[in-house]
Amino acid sequence: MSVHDLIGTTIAGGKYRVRGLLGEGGMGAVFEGEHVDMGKRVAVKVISAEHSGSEEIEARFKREARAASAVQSENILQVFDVGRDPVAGLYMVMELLSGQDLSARLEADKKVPVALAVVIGMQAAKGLAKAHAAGVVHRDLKPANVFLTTRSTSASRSSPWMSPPPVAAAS
Amino acid sequence: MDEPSAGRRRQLTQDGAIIGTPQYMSPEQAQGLPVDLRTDVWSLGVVLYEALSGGDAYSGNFTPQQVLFEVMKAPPRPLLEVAPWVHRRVAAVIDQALAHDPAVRLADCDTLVNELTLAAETERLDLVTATRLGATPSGGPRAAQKRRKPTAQTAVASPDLAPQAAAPAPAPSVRQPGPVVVSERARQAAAAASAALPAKVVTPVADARTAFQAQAENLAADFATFVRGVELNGTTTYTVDLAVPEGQSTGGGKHAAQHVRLLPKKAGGLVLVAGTVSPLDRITELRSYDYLVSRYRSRFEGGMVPVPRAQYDQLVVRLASFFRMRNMPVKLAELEPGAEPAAQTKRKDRRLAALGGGLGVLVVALVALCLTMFLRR
Repeated sequence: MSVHDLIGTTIAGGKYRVRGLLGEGGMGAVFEGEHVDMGKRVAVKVISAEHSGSEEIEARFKREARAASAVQSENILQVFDVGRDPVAGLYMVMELLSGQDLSARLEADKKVPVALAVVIGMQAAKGLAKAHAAGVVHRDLKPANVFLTTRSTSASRSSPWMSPPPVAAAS
Repeated sequence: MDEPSAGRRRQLTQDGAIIGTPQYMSPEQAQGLPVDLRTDVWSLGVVLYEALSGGDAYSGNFTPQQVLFEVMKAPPRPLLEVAPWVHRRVAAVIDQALAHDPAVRLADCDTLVNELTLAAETERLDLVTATRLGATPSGGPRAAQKRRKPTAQTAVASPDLAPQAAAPAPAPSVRQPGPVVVSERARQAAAAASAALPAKVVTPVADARTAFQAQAENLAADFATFVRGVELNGTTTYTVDLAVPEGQSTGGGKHAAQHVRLLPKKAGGLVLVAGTVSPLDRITELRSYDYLVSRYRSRFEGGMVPVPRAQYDQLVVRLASFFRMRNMPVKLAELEPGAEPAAQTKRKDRRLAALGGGLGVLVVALVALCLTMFLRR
């Protein structure tokens, strides 16, 4: 089965619908997805069947998801879910980003303005500091692992007003 | 765009005994020694070195083994030697992140944040504009998560990857690490020079201003995360944000205050100010619903405030918790003494409304923690 066949289907017990393909690599693919009940748009990474069977890969996959979810920082990519789907194989549900990674940016522009590099450095370091505080060392930081994403302060979102969480839980 | 350059191609993480990407690996990691968080300080240093210089810190036409060897042997050349356009203090920070000996390297990422902040203040870098405008992607809007299909070359990722015959010859002057002794000495001299610098070079006023701006910007970014997805649905739908001061003002006080704004999703709607944050003492004043109504009615006689009371009250409670979590004193502004003439307020709100349209974009650097994010063979 090709990864393309997953488009339009649901995974994780019908929880996420797989939309378009965002990218493909040696071990699998990344899709845009949607939480079926909440409508939330996510990125879904799927490890192809030939690699999904490896226990070592599965263990690492889950370890990394656990590490990522242990870190609460707006500068660390959020992971929402991880598991094994009978059809798709190993999957990981992550925050969907718009923007580009630093590797793509450097490919296109060679370098970035000094002030922007400083901002990127500060923000990436903030995220890493949070990870370190949670006992996680990245070990594989590189431009392809740093995303420049935009946060719209007046984004048009359709999510309804939610009642506030208890104050204690709001951190 | 779809075809990664030879340089970037080599960034594919290699599977094998050592996990990591040779040209971003710290010397201790490259040697297979135990690593701690300082390995990430080094890697981020290399990333910034490359982003600033436009060249590779370690690269050229090397095999992964050769890159590893170069990393083990010496730090890259001092940044200013390859990128003289970089501000001196910024370059000094990057060089300190790239100290070969982890014991001498910047101690941790918090230190790196502080050093970069100080360098930006000293060099008077405009981080706010960089944050707002720097996001302009050169690729398409969805470029971030596009993974390129690996080419035949990228698929070759075994540790004994041979030099690529087709790759262009290296530019030695820029790319190759300098001789060990010379570059070590130069780096030590640079480190000594930067250590000898007084912490503050610019005037205290300008310095404080930049610090306020940076603080305001951070707060606004945290705030944006906190209220992400929050909407108030009255006669008009509103989203919430915390404005960043637009620039330097001589007045301070009210002009420099950050406003908690309710932004109408429809263009041309009226922006409502739900509160203010004073830059000096960080006192936050949130407006009660009645205060909001009185402000609104002073301009639109008899008009209905386009936000329902219950939703607004919920928002205020929630926002209060946001500021209190940051140890900022929160006051509730009750019915008010009418400090600002109505006409002035109106003008200001229109200005804010206009700003609201263009202020949407902040660049945020996000680190992907998941190594397998980047699919590899």
